[in-house]
Amino acid sequence: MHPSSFTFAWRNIRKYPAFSLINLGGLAIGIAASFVLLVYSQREMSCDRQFRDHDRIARIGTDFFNMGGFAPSQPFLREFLRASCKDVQYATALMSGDLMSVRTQQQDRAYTAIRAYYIDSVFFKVFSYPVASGAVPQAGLAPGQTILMEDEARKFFGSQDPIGRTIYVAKENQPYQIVAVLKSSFQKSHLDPRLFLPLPATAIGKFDGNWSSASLYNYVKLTPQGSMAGLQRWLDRLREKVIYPTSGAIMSFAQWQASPKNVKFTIQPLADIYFHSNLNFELSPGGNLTQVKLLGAIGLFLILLAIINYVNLVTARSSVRSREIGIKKTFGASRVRLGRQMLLESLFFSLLAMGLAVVLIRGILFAYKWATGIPLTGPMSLTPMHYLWLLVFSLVVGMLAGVYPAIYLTAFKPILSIRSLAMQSGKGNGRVRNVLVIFQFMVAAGLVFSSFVIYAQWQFMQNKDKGLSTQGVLTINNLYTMGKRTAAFRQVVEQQAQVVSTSLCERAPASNDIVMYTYKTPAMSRPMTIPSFPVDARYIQTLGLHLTSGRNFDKDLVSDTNSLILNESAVAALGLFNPVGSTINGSERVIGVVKDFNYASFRQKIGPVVLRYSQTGCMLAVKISGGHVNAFLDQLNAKAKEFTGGEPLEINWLDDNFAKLAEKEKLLGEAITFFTALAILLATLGLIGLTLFTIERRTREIGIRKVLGANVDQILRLVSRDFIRLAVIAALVAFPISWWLMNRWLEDFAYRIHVGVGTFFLAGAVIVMIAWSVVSLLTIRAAMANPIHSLRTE
Amino acid sequence: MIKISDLQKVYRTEEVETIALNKLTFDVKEGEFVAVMGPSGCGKSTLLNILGLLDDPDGGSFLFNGTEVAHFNERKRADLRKRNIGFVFQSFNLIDELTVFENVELPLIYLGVKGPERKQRVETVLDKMQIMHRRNHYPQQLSGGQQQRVAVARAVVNNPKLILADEPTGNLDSSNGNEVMQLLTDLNEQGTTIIMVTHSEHDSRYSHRIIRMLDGQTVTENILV
Repeated sequence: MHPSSFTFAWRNIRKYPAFSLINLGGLAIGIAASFVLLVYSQREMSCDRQFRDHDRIARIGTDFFNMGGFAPSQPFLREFLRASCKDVQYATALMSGDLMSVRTQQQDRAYTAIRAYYIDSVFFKVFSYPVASGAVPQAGLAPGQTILMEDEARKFFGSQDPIGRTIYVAKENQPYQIVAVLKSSFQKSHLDPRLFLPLPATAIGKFDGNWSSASLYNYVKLTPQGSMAGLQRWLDRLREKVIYPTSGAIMSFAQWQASPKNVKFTIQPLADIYFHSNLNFELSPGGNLTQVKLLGAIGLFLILLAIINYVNLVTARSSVRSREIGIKKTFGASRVRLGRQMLLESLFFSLLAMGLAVVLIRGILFAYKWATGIPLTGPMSLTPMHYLWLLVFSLVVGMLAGVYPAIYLTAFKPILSIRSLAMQSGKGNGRVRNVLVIFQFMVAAGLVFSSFVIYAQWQFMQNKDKGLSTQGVLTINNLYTMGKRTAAFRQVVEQQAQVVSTSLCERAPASNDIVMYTYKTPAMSRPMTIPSFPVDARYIQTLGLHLTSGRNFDKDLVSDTNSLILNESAVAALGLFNPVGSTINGSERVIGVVKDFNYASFRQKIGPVVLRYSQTGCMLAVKISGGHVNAFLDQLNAKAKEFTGGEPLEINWLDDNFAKLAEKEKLLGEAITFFTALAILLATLGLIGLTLFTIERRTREIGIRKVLGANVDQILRLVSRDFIRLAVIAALVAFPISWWLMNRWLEDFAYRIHVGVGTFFLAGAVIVMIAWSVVSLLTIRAAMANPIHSLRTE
Repeated sequence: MIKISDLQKVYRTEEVETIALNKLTFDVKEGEFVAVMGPSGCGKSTLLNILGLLDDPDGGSFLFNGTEVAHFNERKRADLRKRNIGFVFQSFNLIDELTVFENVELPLIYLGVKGPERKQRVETVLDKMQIMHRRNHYPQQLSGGQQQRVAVARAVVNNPKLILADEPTGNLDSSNGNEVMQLLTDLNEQGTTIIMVTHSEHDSRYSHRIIRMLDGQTVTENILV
């Protein structure tokens, strides 16, 4: 039996192990990494699309007092929708509960920090969750019933059947009976349910005409004939006919629409929420479209790099292969037949690489989680379907990688192939290979450059003067557990040696809290809504704000209850020329101005802020100094127990708050760095293969040159010169493109770095250094060998 | 069997134009054993490439079994080649990655011969060449003489009407060389036409007729039989 192309390829692998290993390794890394990114992008891009009729589902958010928009909306909106909106088939309201504990036995240890979704009877008519066991009651959850997600059920009950069992929820140990368990899915959703409880009737309440509230997440499913535009028209009518009249305002509808009292709605199609919604109180942090696009592009690049490696290494060896092909042609093989053999070989190769990739995929996912702390594709493992995709993907890669060699290698005239073999490794082919190598280095250089810029921007955001001092500042957020004893607790805190200062306040910078007030100077025709910080007299000191003019609040001055301190932006926004001493809202007096401080986002410019004097607050900001933070916290918690009734303190560090603001950039930087490293690895592998080949081909030449007096250094330069030239060309092409792209990315930031010449040089140096060291390391042995050996073997 | 007239082949580079074959004319009859001789660069190899349908001439006529093949395209040439012509090279040109058996089997695969028949035909020819015991060896495990025997086996396995041999003994010592020449002679006696390019006067004596070439032209023809 004649060996098939597969056995032939296998023998080829065994005969040239170094080449084959590089080729196989490169292809496997490429397949694994780009497949991971493919799955990641697919999962991100199809977020929420797994729900049946997702294009008919939307969320209605609201805004009032120009507060910036809320993901939840009015609790009684659902009733209006059900009563009169013809476009809506189902309207459901969802409440996201606080973090709480769950027990499986009353006396048992509790599972903590679980968030429940409180749902009404039509929730599952809108959101089609597949059921794993039990049955979702048609009429919705009755009081005392609950539905769990699969993961939670497994956590609580292991392999036992959870249906019919009881869980005890929250401090009160409220019992709920499990009626159904829903399948956990690989698909991503902006909803992140753990456990469903029935929505209490009190959550909706009676319609009281107060449209300035947002407590429930209102989702609708349109009728098959319904449209988003129809829903929008209905909402417009609702505003004009219902909301505007109840506002009791004496202005016209047009005036009302332009005033802060105006109530607005946003319709968000379900599939848009994950990437495009950035409202207050989102149910889960949204996706980062830039990151998905960038990683998707990197995935494409990685597989291109791997294919190029394969093509380069196969065609580089064409002088070896052309002999074989020439002989076969002489004996009657047709070009089609030989081309097919080449294709089969590359398919075989890609299948081998796929085998390796299966292992590598796990490795890459694990390494990614290890390096960034966040899993790339969520907690779920890959499904059998994914492996089917992987097979198809690998075969497509194999086809693509095989096409050029199949065309190029089989084009030799047999006569040329059999005679004068060494002469004709083909100038044209060399040129194609150079272009491909340049492309590889371009990708690597562009990615290195981009990750430098992203990292620098992240660093910049971290280190930028925020206008306040975050170091050693923490907030204690559950003062509500202390009731009237807050003041006593504060005294205890202040007695601690490490505590520098404390402040009672309603809001900390870079947190989720929202406090808004409207302000109007005599010169203004219309009031302006400005984020406000109700704080006491120690706030400026505790948070290290800089007072630029005027004075701080004084707790002994009764008149200060009506005092305001503005930041510089607020002074500008309100159009005040001599802010200190001016009057706002008729009776409120500006007593000081602080330097702008960062409180919400690194992307946007710092906006106007007003500090309002307040002697009460829901949180205590504490500035501490010195080390042993954990010991301090333990001590603090021990002392706090008697005030909180046993509850642990909820503590946030200001540093963490700010880190969260820059988290997307941090993740983006880490993700791109991780895959950039893989891209460099791939390009390096390709370079190693080509260098090995070059050395093999030029051994005789190197020997002759040495006999004629060349030294090691000259030989190194001889071999590395070509590659370094390619690397430099690649960098020169890649930098303008990535510079342009990165500048577009940076445009989103109000405070951004300037990409200087240094970055170009650094990125260029990295690429050239890599190329140079790879080539030199490989060449040095050949360059140092005694030429007698290389000449004798010829 | 072969009738070439005014055959021309010119190699052009940017500076030089080399005339490899200059209006070459001769016939080869079926069953003949012809040796082509001449100094390096006289056009022997070019001639062999054209006769073997590996290359096409720039002018003149080439009748193969009465068919004009001078301007056949590659596909047609390949088809004619695999059915009618076997090759033996000075450097053997065996494929290193294939065993002896597989190397010899190659032409039959390209002819579309079915597996069992292939096996039988390859074994027959290997037996005839007395290298059956090496059937599972790779070329580099064989001596030069053995490699050339494999190459001859490969050349004859599809029963070609014509064998083109390009200095078949050039890389062999005299005893191995004689053996190969004897093989060719035997094949010729069984009816195969052989055209052999050689530098060796000794080898040329195995043939019926010697064509001597110089600068792309025939100089003399000696008839030995």
